[in-house]
Amino acid sequence: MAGDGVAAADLTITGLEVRAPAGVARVFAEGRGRELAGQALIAPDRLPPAAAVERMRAALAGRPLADRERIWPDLRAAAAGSDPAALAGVDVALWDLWSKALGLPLYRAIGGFRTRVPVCLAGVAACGSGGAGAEAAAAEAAAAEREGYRGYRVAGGGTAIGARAPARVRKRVLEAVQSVREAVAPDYPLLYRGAAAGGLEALAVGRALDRAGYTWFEDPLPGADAEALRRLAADLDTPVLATVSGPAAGRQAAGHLARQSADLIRVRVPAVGGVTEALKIVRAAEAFGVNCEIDPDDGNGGLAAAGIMGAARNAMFLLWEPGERGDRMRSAGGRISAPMVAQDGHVTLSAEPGLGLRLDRN
Amino acid sequence: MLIKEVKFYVAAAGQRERAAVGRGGMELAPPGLSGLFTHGEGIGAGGDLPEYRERMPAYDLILRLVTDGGLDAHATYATGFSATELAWQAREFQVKVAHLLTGIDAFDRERIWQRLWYTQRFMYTGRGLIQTVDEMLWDLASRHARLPLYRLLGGARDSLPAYRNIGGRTIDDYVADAARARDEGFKGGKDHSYRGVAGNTELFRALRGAMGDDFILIHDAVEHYTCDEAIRIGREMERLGYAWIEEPLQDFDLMGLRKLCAALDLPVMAMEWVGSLAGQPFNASAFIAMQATDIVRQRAIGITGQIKLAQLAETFGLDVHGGNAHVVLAIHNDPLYEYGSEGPLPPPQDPATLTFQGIRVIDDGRMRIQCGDLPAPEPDWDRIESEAVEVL
Repeated sequence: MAGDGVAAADLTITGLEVRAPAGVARVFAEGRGRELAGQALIAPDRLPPAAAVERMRAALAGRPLADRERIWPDLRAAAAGSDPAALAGVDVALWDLWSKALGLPLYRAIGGFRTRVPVCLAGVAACGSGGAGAEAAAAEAAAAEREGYRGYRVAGGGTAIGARAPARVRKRVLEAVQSVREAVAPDYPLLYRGAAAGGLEALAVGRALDRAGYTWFEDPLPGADAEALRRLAADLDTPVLATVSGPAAGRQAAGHLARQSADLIRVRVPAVGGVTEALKIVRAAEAFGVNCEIDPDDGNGGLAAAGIMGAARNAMFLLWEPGERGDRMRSAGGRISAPMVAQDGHVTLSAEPGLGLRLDRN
Repeated sequence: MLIKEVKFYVAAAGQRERAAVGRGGMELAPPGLSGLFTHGEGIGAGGDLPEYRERMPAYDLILRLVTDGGLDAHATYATGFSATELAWQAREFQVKVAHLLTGIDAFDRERIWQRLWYTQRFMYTGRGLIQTVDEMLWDLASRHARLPLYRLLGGARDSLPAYRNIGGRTIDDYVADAARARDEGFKGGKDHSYRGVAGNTELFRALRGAMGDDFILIHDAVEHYTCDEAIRIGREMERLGYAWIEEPLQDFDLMGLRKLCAALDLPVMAMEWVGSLAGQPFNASAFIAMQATDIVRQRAIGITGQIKLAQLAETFGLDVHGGNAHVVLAIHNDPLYEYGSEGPLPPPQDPATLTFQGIRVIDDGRMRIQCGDLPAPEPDWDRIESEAVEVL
């Protein structure tokens, strides 16, 4: 075997199918006596129209599997008219296939950085909604710390606390930020997610986060509002995270990086069209000393997000949605038979080749 | 595939020529008013420069990362004329670096690259350490996948147009060399002419006049202009349809480069020197954000670093230029291949004699990796071990 290649990954793509209504994208390749298939999920309500599937199939068939960079622009053009999630499904299926061709898990096919990724509990208690909400958030944070989650994200919600908000609402949010901090160790990582109605309101919340030593302030303002984000990021000590999405997500990220209008970037694999594009944004952010967090809501139970994190240093947490919502996300609505599990505050990445996606055949 | 052990072999490599060759003078850049010094000769100037040459017994220091997976990573870590010196390099590696690699999966390139990046800082290793180890791990992956590296990296294209560096002592020499380059099939030529604004204006007009509009012309100034001089020569180059101006100012002069990029329509390429000193892709971010370069000179460390830099630039809609030939083919955003001063053209070979890893060829003005179907030869470690001057 030595010298003749172990994986023999010089395969040719032979086909693509997208199964409705299950939302499974499958790509096939063969060569050197091997036949392999890769697969990924697409949300059933994001499936590409038949014409787009046909165009993507034509763009893939007969192409060398390895030529990802050559295939990508053609695939993206072929997917026109589809939701980016549909393009992402095919792209992730190609990465699954490519990793299987190499006999490596996704993160090692890219180039492995780690085998375990830290998990942060995404709280559900809305602290802006009243005294009970703040208490619930504090209790949830304390439980998260006790259970070994490596951090806790406060669900700040979209409560308006600006100049026009009643004083009691403003007070409630700012107190909640502090009471969550008091419920956990002083250095326990806390994140805050909360859309604000405007820059001044975000500044008020951000100051409370500064005082309480939060790790980041997530999507305080719409990602397109780069100028207000830039002022906020400059004013606050707490790092400001901005999510980028859509076909121009890379350029959007570039704008944030060059203008310092975000201290952290976040991408969601289905929103940027797949792993290929997400990885480039991760690398661009890295060169700026900026984290690029990967949203676990990747349509594939978090496996694509965790795989990217396994190949990158500049992503801190895999967010962990609890309860039924989280279970639904990690099982992709029951389609994944072996959803990822968190243990000791980490997800251990599977060593099996590919994305690690196991589908429920029913 | 875990890295189990680090081994070095000092191997006798027969007689090789050792040469010390003069490079000419460092003189005030014409017309001498700026006070900047530049290289007096330029590329390909030739002439009677002092030199010493002697054939001596030579040695290779072979580095082998032994894995538990049936394939080992290996490279010639250093060459030299003293077996003792090479053995000491190996000992230094063994005590400082080896333990940073063993126990790590050979496909965990990102972990090793990141770890050695900071090792570079703490141990003042220089860029060579990361580069050698990273390239070894990519070579291993290429052999594992039975694919040439550029396709393992994403294979954006199989070939791209090439230009070559042109040189000479006089303007007539330059024009003749450019014509030779075109006869050899190259799509363009790049000068390294340090004549200042007036002298280079004359050269560029002569080159464009002789070569016509379709031949790509590029000027590498290697830091011999002030900012206002660079704007003046840049305007002339815009009129003559040059492709870009390379390293017009000191790479350290971010403010000057930013001003120049804003002033000129002509693309400016910076970062060869600061990139070579180390730091890419991380120092490229400031150049890009400040718009102090339009095209980023590719000098990032290792294959992993070069892909990072290319993807950084791509995210900003920018091109990079240069670097490893496989990386150049793997990405979309390098417009041309630079054939440097490394000697006669590598001609295409009989494919039956080539491995799947391929060799770089330039043919009909395009660079490609010509591949065959032979397996990559694996070193005969038993023989290397038994014949080694020293095993460490």
